Amino acid sequence: MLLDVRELHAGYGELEVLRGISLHVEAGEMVAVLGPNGAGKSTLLRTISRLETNVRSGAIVFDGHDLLRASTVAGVGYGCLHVPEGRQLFTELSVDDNIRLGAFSGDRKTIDADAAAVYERFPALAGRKSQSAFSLSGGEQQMLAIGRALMARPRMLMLDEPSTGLAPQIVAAIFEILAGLKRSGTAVLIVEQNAYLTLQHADRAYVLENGEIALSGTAAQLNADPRVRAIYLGGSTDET
Amino acid sequence: MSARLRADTRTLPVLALIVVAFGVLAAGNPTLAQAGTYAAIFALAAIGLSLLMGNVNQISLGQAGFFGIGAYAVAALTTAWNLPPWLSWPLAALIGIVTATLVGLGLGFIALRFRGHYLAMATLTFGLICAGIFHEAKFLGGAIGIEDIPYPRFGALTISGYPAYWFAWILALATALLTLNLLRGRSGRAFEAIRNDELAAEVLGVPTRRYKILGFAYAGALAGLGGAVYAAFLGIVVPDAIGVQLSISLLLMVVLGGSGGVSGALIGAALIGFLDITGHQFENTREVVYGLLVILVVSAAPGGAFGLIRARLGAAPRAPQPALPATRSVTRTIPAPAGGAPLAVSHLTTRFGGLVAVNDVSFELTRGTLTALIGPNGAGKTTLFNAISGIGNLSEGRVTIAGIDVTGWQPHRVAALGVGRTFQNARLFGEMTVLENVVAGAFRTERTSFGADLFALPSARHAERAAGDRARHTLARLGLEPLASTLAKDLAFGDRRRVELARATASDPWLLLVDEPAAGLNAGERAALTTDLLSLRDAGMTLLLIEHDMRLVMSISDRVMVLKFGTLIADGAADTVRDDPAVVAAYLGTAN
Repeated sequence: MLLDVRELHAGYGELEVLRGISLHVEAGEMVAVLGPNGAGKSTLLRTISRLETNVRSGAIVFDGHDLLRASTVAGVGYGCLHVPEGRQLFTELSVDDNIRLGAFSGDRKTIDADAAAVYERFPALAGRKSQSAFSLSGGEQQMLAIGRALMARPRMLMLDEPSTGLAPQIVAAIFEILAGLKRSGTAVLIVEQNAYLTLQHADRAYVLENGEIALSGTAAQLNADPRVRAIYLGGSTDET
Repeated sequence: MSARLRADTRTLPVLALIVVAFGVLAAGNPTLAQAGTYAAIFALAAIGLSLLMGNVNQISLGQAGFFGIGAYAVAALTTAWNLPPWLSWPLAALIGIVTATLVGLGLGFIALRFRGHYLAMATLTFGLICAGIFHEAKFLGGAIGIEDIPYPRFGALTISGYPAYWFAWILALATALLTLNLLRGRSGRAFEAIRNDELAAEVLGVPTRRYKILGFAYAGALAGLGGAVYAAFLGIVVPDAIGVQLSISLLLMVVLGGSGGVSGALIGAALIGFLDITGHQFENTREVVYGLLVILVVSAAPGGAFGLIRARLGAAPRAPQPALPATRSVTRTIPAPAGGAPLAVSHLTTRFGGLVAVNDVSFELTRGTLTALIGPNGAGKTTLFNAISGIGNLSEGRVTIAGIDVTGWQPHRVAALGVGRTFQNARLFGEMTVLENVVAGAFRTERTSFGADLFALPSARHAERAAGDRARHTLARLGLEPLASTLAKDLAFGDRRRVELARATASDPWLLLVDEPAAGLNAGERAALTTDLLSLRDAGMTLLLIEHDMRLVMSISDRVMVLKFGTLIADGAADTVRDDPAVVAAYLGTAN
């Protein structure tokens, strides 16, 4: 098991957002976390990355390391990478600077080789190395954010709503890239609004509601489950 | 009255006693009396700056400019006029104060455009310009200044030397008293709200721009008064004494003494006034000592000397509040003015650069109904709320409230029509108690004036009581009385939401915009919220609600509107909207 989250209770200050979450991700697996706004999806990723949240109880183990005892930076060192919502690029810096800032190792040769590999994966970025990140389109910015994270040689990539604000064909391209990552052995934990599209690509999924896991299963199972829709739009979830 | 203000009110008599005791001690000692007089003169200007910094949350590094206006008005006019001495100084001082007030209004207007460092620089520049004018203007004596300013004389009493001590302190203490009145009144409550959260104050109907300008004008007027006394006391005004250094000194007094209210300013002015005179022979060392003092105070006691005293005073005893009958279900609602729908939005579009956040949205609300506005993240729901309540500019379209076109209005004007609003992140006034928050919510119902506040006229007292009663009624209605004296920043998350709802409804609005009230609430709190919202609607209020909890939305809404990428994609009864394929796609996406 690559990531193992057990009975996690966490939130901000006094506010408890996650109320007992247990989930796992296997190496090379693509797992989706779905659910309506405010269910706690982003908080879950932020807690795994040890960003700003308070953990009341529970455990987060990544590849044998106890992440609750690790700093955000140490987590990156273990190979747990977070591509946050809104991309959080260094918008005033060039594309190439953004990519290189993602490198975790300090070795010049490694960085050059890794950067070359990233540009190979994202040909659109290769042609824009010296442009400022600000000048990129939304889709290119999302690719840059993913490319920057890849520089740290992740074993698992966590993405927070990568499709936000992107046109459908760009979203399809992003999912294509994630499928490629998965094939090359990188696990993906993805938080998405677009439930049905994500279920087309993911292996398994969890549906969060009010900080708890309401449903979980394989993508195919959930795709056919009417309760998913009830969780998003209200109504009864009793029908089974 | 806030704890800070209560401590201030209790400290002022003690400081007045110290002034009297010092005055008696200094009777035979001209150096001491002079130091005391300086302290009073600086105190006048420092009180104004303290209010500006500590109550209105603005900064000025140019107060010497106003001080100079007062000083030069007295110097130039009393030396030029041939009026009887009892009339000459008061008239010249009045002209100086009025001029300083007008210039303060101007600076306040300019200051609206600046914040933080830029405001500091803008006001510093103002001080530099004044210093330059004082230095260069021929009619003000140029670099030499103006000498032989006649002392004010009232009958046999000449205001110079020892009598000047009493004269200056009577003015300073009277000013302190009036300032406390002001802070206790509606103006003070407006300042306090602005200091805590400008935007939240604005949507409660506080004209924040006007009050900020007022703060600058008041600080200018007091600095001008200080200058007028200074010129009369010294008998000579030279431009070098009224430069940037004086502005910094005044700032120092307020920082050392503790900004906000009057006691800190009095203490700070006394400290510096005293050090200035007694440390005269150590001219250079003094600057070093001041510098070190400021570093020490800012790092160790950011509340200044008065902050330390206040901490020692602890919680002041409160007057017992009259108990009110629990009237939880009773809601008084001001009927919407006749004429048109409570809210009508037509072809509203809001763009941020190339991004269209709200795209050609039109709808009308029916009186006494609860309508939910839902949609995925980033759909433009809050942007639409902002456009309705006057926050930010809408690019195209019209917003009409009860038949009145409010397009382009500032938020406080929209609020004044009877429109309440809450925020996604419950923007409570953290440093104020729950009761004070809700009293601020009743701001727009208070009928009193600046002058009534300043002189604590019965109308100001009456307004304060009425707002307090109204706030306590609102708290009782929502069952929140036990929290009345809790500081808002110490509230549990769920209570913050309910207090915000109390604050937004304290003025009995007839149209209420509620932004994600259930976010972060547990099941019990959601049930209570549902009851509260329904009882507001049943009392005749028109509600527009942004909410992500679909069970709550579907169970209480008379109508549901769905926004996606800024466009309304569905509008109708809850059941119909829930089964609309476009809505399903908006929330869950489509496979391709």
